Amino acid sequence: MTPAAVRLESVTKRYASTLALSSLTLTAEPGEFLVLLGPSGCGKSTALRVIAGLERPTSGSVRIGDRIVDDVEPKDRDVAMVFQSYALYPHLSVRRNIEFPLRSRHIAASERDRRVTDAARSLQLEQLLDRKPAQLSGGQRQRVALARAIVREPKAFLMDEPLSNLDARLRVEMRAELIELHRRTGTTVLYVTHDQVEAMTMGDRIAILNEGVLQQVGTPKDVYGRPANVFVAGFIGSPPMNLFPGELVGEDGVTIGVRPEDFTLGGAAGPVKLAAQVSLVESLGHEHHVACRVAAPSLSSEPLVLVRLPASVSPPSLGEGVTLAASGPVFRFDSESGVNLELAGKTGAAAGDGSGFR
Amino acid sequence: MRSRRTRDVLLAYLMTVPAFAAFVIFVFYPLVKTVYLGFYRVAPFPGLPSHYVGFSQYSTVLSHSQFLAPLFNSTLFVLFTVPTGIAIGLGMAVAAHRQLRGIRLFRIVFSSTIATSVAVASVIFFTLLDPTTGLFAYWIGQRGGTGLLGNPTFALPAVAVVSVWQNLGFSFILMSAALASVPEDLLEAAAIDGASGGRRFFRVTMPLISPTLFFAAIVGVIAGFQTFGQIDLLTQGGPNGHTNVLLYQIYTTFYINADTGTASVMAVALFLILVLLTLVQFSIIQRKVFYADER
Ligand SMILES: Nc1ncnc2c1ncn2[C@@H]1O[C@H](COP(=O)(O)OP(=O)(O)OP(=O)(O)O)[C@@H](O)[C@H]1O
Ligand SMILES: [Mg+2]
Repeated sequence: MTPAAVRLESVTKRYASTLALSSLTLTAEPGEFLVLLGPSGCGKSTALRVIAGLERPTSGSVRIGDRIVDDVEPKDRDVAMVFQSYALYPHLSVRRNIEFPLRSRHIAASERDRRVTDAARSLQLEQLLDRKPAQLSGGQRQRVALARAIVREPKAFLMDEPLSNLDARLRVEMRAELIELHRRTGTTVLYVTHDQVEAMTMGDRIAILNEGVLQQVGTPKDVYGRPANVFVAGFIGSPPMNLFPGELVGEDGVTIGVRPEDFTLGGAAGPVKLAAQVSLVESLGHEHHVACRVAAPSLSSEPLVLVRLPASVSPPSLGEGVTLAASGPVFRFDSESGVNLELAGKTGAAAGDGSGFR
Repeated sequence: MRSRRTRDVLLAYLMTVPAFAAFVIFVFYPLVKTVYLGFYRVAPFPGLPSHYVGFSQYSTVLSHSQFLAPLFNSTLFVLFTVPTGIAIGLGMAVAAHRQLRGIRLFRIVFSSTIATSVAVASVIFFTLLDPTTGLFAYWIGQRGGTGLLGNPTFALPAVAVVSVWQNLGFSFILMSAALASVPEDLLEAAAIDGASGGRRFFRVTMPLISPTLFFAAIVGVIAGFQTFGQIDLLTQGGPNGHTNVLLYQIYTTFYINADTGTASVMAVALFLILVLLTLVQFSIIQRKVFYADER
């Protein structure tokens, strides 16, 4: 099956009292690994469910390939979905689980066996084919769910936080396997996560949602280096970007953003210089996190700024007075609208320009 | 420490005494007594002493048509009532499972027969089926005669219909609860996997609710073999013994004929039949039926 584009066209989904998606327009290009990223409840799952046909949008339409599928039933949309809960059929063996979509489509037995064998081999499930889901570990169940999706050879994969139930080590492993799988099959993937590390490492592009509204679409580099607004700036990056009122550096009406790794203690001159006092030092081995309280006589409270220092630098001691200087990019956002002022003049700032497809 | 443990154990035993006593008095003693009564043949005229005949009464009664015919009727009755009751209850539960406007009204109506009793159901149907004044006779345009309940072919099916109707509310509620326990994401996954509505129902829903189906089957079979009220109120075993089910036969033998020996033998047989059926069904459950907690 050739990979297909998946397109949401001004899709709005309203539940009784909540607006889960607000006029969302978003395209996953054929073969692209597009990540939907956002905090809990922002509408990521809803977007996938609308694409799969499990929910009917309140307005707007969905296109898979060159077909508008608004009136097409889920079973005929030819997309495969991996649920957060895996949704394995508990009464069927692993083999029967993987076969299920093929049997539903009346694929001939020989062809079916070939595909199941292939899928089981590529996900190392050969030894487990006769087990029931209850007899599998979380990681194994996850692989069965993936196998059930890939035997289909669908037009697109929809994955709803497939790794969120795994422990940290397994998650890293499966992340690599998923990337490998995507490279091998070349199928379009829409991948939902609220884990930005997953998003940054896996996505060709990332679409960031907040409260049902698309904030920005772009490559990981884009959304990190040129966040469209305060929300994206604060959401991407760990630890998150420091955001503080422009009044501190004599710029009114803006919010200033500096990433923790872009601060140095004392030294170099720059546009942003802040007097502060060290209030917490965390040494993680490969780096230090230093929290500083900025002296701000003009404000009601003293903002806390986090600084990331490489392990080679010896960290300051608690209570020490320091001067924070921005050594990297300084972002400026409109304090009313939150828009990145640097991008505001250019076109399509809020939604990215989409040119970042790699 | 030790004395406290002993006290706990004693207390534990003490607390089981009421339940144990109730079991002995109301279950164990009558059972033993029934088996024992089965060893004594009752004289054909009241007042004469009964005498011990041992197992011979068991073999004569159990091979006699006064036992075999009611056993056949009971079996037929169970076959009429249990599968249909489950199927109709399940069908109504599926219909009412959807999220539609006003569906609650249907749920209430569908469950309503649970609020009736055997007596109420029987009276309703007795009136409906009355050969001269009943609505049924009017519908089929045939007044007078014996009516369904007096017809040798249709009497038992007619009583079965009354039973199915009366148990429908229970069956509906049971099946609705089972449907509600099927995880929605499995059905969604099946839909995305290309399964049609029928395939989703038979390949996902049915296996997942199979424990409930088997529970309903066991309860239904036991209740079916213990049917009494409908028969007593509607046909009294007639016409010509065609609705004379096992429990009704035991009743008439015991109370009307005062033949305690024969009645006891048949009661013991009924007990053993139910035990056996239950064991068979449980063994099927263990081998075949999927329990959701294996998930
Ligand atoms: N069936 C529903 N009925 C009513 N509200 C719903 C329903 N499904 C989702 N919502 C609401 O829609 C919003 C978006 O939900 P959605 O499941 O898409 O969030 P999400 O981004 O996937 O969150 P999470 O990361 O926690 O899974 C939430 O506010 C949620 O409460
Ligand atoms: Mg979700």
